[in-house]
Amino acid sequence: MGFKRKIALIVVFIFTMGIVLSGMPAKLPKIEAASKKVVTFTMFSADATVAYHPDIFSSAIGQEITKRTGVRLKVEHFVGMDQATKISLMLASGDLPDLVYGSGEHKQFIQNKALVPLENYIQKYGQWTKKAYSEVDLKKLRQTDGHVYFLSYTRGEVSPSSMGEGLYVMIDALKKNNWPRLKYWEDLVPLIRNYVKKYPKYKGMPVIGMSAIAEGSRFYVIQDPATGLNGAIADTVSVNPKTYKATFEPASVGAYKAYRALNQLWNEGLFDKETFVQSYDQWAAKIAQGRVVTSWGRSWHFNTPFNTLRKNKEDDRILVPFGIVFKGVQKSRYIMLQSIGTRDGVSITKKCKDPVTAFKFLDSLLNPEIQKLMFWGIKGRDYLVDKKGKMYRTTAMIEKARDPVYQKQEGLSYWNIYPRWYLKLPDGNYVKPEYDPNIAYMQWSPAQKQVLDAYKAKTFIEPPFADEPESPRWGYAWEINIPSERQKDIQVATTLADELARKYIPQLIMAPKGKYDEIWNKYKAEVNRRINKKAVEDFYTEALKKRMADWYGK
Amino acid sequence: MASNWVDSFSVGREILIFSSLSKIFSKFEEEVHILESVFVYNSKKTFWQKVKEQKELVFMIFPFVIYVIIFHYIPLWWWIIAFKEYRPYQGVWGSEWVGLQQFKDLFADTGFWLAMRNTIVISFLKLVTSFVAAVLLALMLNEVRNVGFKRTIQTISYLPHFVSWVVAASIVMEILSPESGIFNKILMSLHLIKQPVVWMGEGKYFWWVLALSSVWKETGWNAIVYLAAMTSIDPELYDAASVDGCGRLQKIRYVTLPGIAPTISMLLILNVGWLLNAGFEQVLLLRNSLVQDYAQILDTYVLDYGISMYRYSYATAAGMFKSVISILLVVFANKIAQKLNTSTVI
Repeated sequence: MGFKRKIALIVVFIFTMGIVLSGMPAKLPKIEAASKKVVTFTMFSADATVAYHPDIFSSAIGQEITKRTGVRLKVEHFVGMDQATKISLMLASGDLPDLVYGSGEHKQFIQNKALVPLENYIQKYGQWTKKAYSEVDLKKLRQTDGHVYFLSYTRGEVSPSSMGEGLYVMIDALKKNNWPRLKYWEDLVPLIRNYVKKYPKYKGMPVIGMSAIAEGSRFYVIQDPATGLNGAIADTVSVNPKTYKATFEPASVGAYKAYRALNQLWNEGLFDKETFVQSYDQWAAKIAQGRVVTSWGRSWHFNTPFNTLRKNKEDDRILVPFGIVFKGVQKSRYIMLQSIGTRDGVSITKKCKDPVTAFKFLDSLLNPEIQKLMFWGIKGRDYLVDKKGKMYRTTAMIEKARDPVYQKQEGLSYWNIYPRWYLKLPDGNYVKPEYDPNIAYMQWSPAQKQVLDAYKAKTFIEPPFADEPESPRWGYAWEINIPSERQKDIQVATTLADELARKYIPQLIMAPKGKYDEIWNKYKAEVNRRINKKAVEDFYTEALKKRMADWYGK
Repeated sequence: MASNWVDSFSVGREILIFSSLSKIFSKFEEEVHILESVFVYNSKKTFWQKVKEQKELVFMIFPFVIYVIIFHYIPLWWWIIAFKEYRPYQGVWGSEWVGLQQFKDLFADTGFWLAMRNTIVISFLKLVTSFVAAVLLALMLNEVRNVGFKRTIQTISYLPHFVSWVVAASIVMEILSPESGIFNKILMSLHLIKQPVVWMGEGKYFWWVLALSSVWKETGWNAIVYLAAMTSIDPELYDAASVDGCGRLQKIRYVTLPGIAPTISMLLILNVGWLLNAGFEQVLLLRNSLVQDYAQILDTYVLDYGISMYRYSYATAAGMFKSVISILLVVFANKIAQKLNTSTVI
C-alpha cells in the first residue's frame, strides 16, 4: 500500500508541476518584449542545405541583428526532403507565416497569389535595396506577372571556395597516378579499372569504382551524366543559343551515349551495385569510409562525408571534381553561372499584418554593417580588420567557423537566403569571407591543398578541374515559374518524363550485356508515345522569347 | 436536480451528498425503465418528450457527438473539392466546378490502377502472413512452461513494435544490402545463392520484403491478443483432453484453436476494412526507383500525384474513392460473418 501511495504522490507532483510550468513561459517573453519593443515576424524557410539551430535569432549574431533592426524572426526551418508536400499543405490550409522562403517550390506561393508585390516598397522605402540591386537586376527579378516578390540571394559570383562540380575523383587515385590532367571519360575509365584492381579493399571493405545518388528527390544526380558528359547544360529543356528555341527530349542521343558508358562500367563490376537501392545516408557513409574512387553528386552532397574524412585524418580519401566529357566534346559545362537568381528568395505574404515594417527589415539587412554581421560574424571574434580597413580571418578563426557547434551558438552560416550585395560591399570588402581567395585557400584540408599545388591551380573551379564557367544570356529554363493556368499540361508532361526516367535509367545502367539497345528502344518508344513534348517546347520557347525582350529590350 | 443541490447546502455536506446520491440512483432506475419503454415497448411519446425525459443521458453523450462531428463529419464536407478544381487563393466556393472530371482523370490514369493492384496485393500478403505468424507464435508461447523464458521471448518479440518505421526501415535496408547485409552473407555461406541478391531491387521480392518486415515488426504485438484469448480457455478442457489420451499437438488442435477461433474471425473482419491501407510509412520509407511499379500504393499515389503536385482536388477524389471502397469492404465482411454466425462488428 505504501508503494502505491508513493506512486500516487509522484503522479500528483508531476501533474502539478506540469500545470505550474506550462503556465510559466507565457510570462517570460512579455517582460522581454516590454523592455525592448521588438517586432516579431513569423517565417518559414524551405532551405535544407544547412543544419539550422531551431531558433536562429537566439544565436549571438541573431540577437545582434535584432538589437540593430528592432525585428526578430521566428523561423521554422524545413527538415527532410519533400518540400512540395509541406508547402502544398501550407497553401491549402491558408495558414501562412509573415515571411516565406520556398526554395525550389517558391513558385507555388507566386502562382497561388499568396505574396505581396515589392516594387512600390522598393521605390518608397528601399534605400539600401536600390544601392545593392541595380535597375537591371530588379528588372530581371520581375516574374511573368510583372511583379517583384523577392530580392534574390543568388547574385552570380563564382566563389573561389566552391568545391566545384563535375565527376568527383578520389585524391588518392590522382596521387598514385602522378596527378593526371583528367578531361576525357575514355581516359578516366582505365584509371578507375586499374585502381580498383590494384587496391580492391580499403580497411577490409571493398573499394567501389563509381557510385552515384539516385534516391528520391536527389534523383537528378543520376541524370547529370546525360548532359554533363556531353558538355551540355543541365536544364529542363535545351535551348538553341541563336534562336532561343527550346527542345524537350528526355531520351536524347546524349543520354543514350552516357548511360551506355555507365552500363559498360556496371557490367565490368565497377559501378556501385547498391546505387538504386541505397539511401543518401548510405551513399554518404561509403564516401566517408573512403572507399569510393569516383562518384556523381553535387558539391553540397559531399559536405558531411568530407568533414568526417577530414576529422578522421583521412583527407586523401576526399574526392575532387573534374569536368569529365566524352572525347570530341569541346567544353565541359558542369559549373554554370546565374546572372541573378529569379527563382526564389525571401518574400512577404499577404497574411503579414505589417508588410511595410517587414520590408524595411529586409531592406535594413542590406545595410553593409548588418551584411558583415550576417556573413562574417562578430568583429574581433570571427574576423579582424587591418589598418587599411580590409577584413580578414586568422587560421584559428577559419577552423572555428567550420565547427558545427560553434556555428550554432554564434549563428554563422545561417543567412544565405537573405538579400545581399553582389561580390563586394561598398567599402571594398568581400560580402562573404569565402569570396576572399586567401581565405578560400586556407580553408582546404592539407590533401586538398596538395591537389591544388600539384595542378598549379588556385581553386577547384578553374582548369584542369573545370572550363571557364559561363552564364547563358537567357538564364535557365528551370528558373521560369510556370503560371497556374499552364501548370497542368506542362507539369503532367515533365512529371511523366521524370517518372519514365526513374523507371528506365536504372534498367539502362544495369542492363545485361547486349540488352542495352533493346531497353533503350523501349524507353524511347514510351517517351514518344506518352509525352506531349510540343506543349513543353512551345511554352518554354515563348517564355524565353518574352524574357529576352524584357531583359534586353529586343 | 439543481434546486436539490441548493436546498441541501444549508443542511450540511453529508446530507447533501447522500441526498444527491440517492437522487442519482433513483434517476438511474427510472432511466432503465425509460430505456426499456423506448427500445422494447416502443411507447407512444413524441421525440421531444423522450429527449426531455432522458436529458441526463443526452447530456452525457454530447461531448462524444461533438467530437465525432468535428473530427469525422465536418472534414467530409471538404469532399466537395473533389468536384472542383480547387485553388487555395480562390477558396472553396470561388474555385471552378468541374463535375466528375477529377474522377475521370483518376480512372483514366494507368498509374492509379497500378497503385490499386499493388495496394491489394501488398495488404493481402501482409494480412495472411501476419495472421499466420501471430497465431503460430501465440500457440508456441502458450506451450512454454518456463515462465521466465516465456516472458523474455514475449518481450523481445514485441519490442520492434515500438520502433518507428524510420528506424526500422534503415535496419531492413542494412540487413538486405547486397554488399554488407547479413542476410546475403548467410545465404552465401550456406551456398544457397552464388551472387548477393538485391532484395530491395526486384519488384516481386520487394512485396515479400514488405510483408515479412511487417511480420518481424508486428508479430509479437499481435500475438498478445491471442495469448489473452488462450488464458480464458477453461483448464479443465485440457485435463479432460489428457484423460482422453490427447498429445500436445492434439490439444492444440482440439482445444486451443477452437478456443480462440472467435477472436481470430473478429480480428479478420476488422482488418478487412483496412485492406486498402497497405502501410503508408513503411512503403514510403522502403521504396526506391527500381521497384516503383511495385511499390506505388494508393496512399503514396495520393501524395505523389496529388498533394506534391498541388492537385488538391485530384488527391481528394482519390482519397474519397478509397474511403468508399473501404466502407463497402467492411459491410461485405460483416455480412459474411453474420452468415457464418460468428461475432460481428456493426
